[in-house]
Amino acid sequence: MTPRDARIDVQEIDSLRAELERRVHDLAPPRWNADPEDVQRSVARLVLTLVEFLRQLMERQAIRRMDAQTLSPEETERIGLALMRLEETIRDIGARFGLEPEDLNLDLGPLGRLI
Amino acid sequence: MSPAREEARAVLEQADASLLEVVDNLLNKGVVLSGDVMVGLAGVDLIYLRLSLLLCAADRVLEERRG
Amino acid sequence: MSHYVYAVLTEPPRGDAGAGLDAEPLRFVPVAGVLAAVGDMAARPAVSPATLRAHDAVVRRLAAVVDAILPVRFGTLLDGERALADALAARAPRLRAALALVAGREQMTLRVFGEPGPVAPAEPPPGELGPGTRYLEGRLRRAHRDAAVPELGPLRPWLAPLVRAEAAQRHDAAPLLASVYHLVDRGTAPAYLEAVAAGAPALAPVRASATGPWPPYAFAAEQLG
Repeated sequence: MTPRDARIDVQEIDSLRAELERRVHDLAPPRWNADPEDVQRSVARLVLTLVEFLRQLMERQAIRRMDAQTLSPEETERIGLALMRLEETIRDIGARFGLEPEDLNLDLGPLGRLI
Repeated sequence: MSPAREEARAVLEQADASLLEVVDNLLNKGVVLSGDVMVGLAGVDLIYLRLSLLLCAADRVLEERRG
Repeated sequence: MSHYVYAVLTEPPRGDAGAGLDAEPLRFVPVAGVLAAVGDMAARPAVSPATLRAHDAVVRRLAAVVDAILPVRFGTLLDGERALADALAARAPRLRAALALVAGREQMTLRVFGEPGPVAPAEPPPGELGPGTRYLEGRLRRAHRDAAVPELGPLRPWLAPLVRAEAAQRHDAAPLLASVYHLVDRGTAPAYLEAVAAGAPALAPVRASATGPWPPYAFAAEQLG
C-alpha cells in the first residue's frame, strides 16, 4: 500500500467515526425535569415534543400507506393537510414560548433515531 | 452528557475500524424493544413513559383483532 | 433481576450457544410466537470495547446454531417477563416477517466513499394535486432520496446476483457518502467480497469497502407502521 492509500484509509475511517459519533444517542432513558425558574416553558417543551413525536409517527405511517396505495386520494389529501397544519401549529405555539424546532427534541434514544 | 453517552464517545474515539463496525451494528441497528422517557420533578425521577408501545400501526392492530 | 435481550429467534438453538456477555446462562423465552434469547442481569452493562465485542460474540454464536435471528440493540434491559411480553407482542407480526426475510442469510456492510454525485432534480408533482397531497408526496420523495445511493450504480451489476435485500443510508460525512447493508445467503460472503473487488475499477473514483459477514443487524430495524 502506498503512503497515499494509507492516508485515504485513515480519512475514511475517521469519517465513519465522526458519523457514528453523531448518531450515538443516549443509552440510558432520557430525562425531563421541570425547570423551577421557567416551569411554563418546560411544560410547553415537554408537551410539544411529545406531540411532535406523535406527529412524526403519524406522518411516517401516512407516507407508508400512500406509497403502498392503501389510502384513497381523498384520504391522502385530508391527512396531508392535517399533518401540515399540525406542524404549523406546533411551530407557532413553540415560538410563543421561545422554542425552536430543535428544542423539541427530547432525544428519545433509539426511538428518536427511527424518526 | 449522560454517563452512557460519555462511555460511547470514549469507545468511539479509540475505536479501530473493526470496532467501529461493531458499534454501528450494536448501537445503531437491531430490534428496539425499549424506548422510554424518565419524567421527574425537582430532580426526583417519578414516571416512565413507555413510548415503545406506541410503535404499532393501527392497521396491524386491527388485522390482529380481526384475524 | 431484569432480562437482557440479545436476539429474537423462531426456534430454540440446535446446539450450544454458550453463555451471555457476563458469563450468565442464556435462556430462551417463548413470547408472542417468537423466542427471545435473554440473560438475567441486574443492571445494564457499561459501554466498552469488551462488552460490545462480547455482546456481538453472543449474537454470532446464536446465529451459528439457528436459521433465523434478529439481533436486538445493545443495552436492552427489560424489567421482568411482563415487560418482555409487552414489548414483543406489540411487534410480533413485523418480527415474524423480518425473521422470514433473514432466514438462512447474513449481512454484508458496504461503506461508500467519494464525492457526492449530482442530485437528481426533484420532479414537481402534477399541478392539479391538492396541497395536502403535495406535502405528503414531498415527504415521500425526501425519504427515497435519503435511502438512494446512485453513486453505487456501477458496482450493482456485480452485486445483484448475490443481494437478497438492501438497506441504505446516505451520510453527510465526507468522504463517507453512504452505508449500504446487503442481505446475502449464508456462505456467499467470499463471493460478495470478490464481486466488490471485481467491480472496483468500474466504480472509481468512488470507493466501496466491504465488511462482513455479520448477523443481520440492519434488517432487524423497526419500520414504523
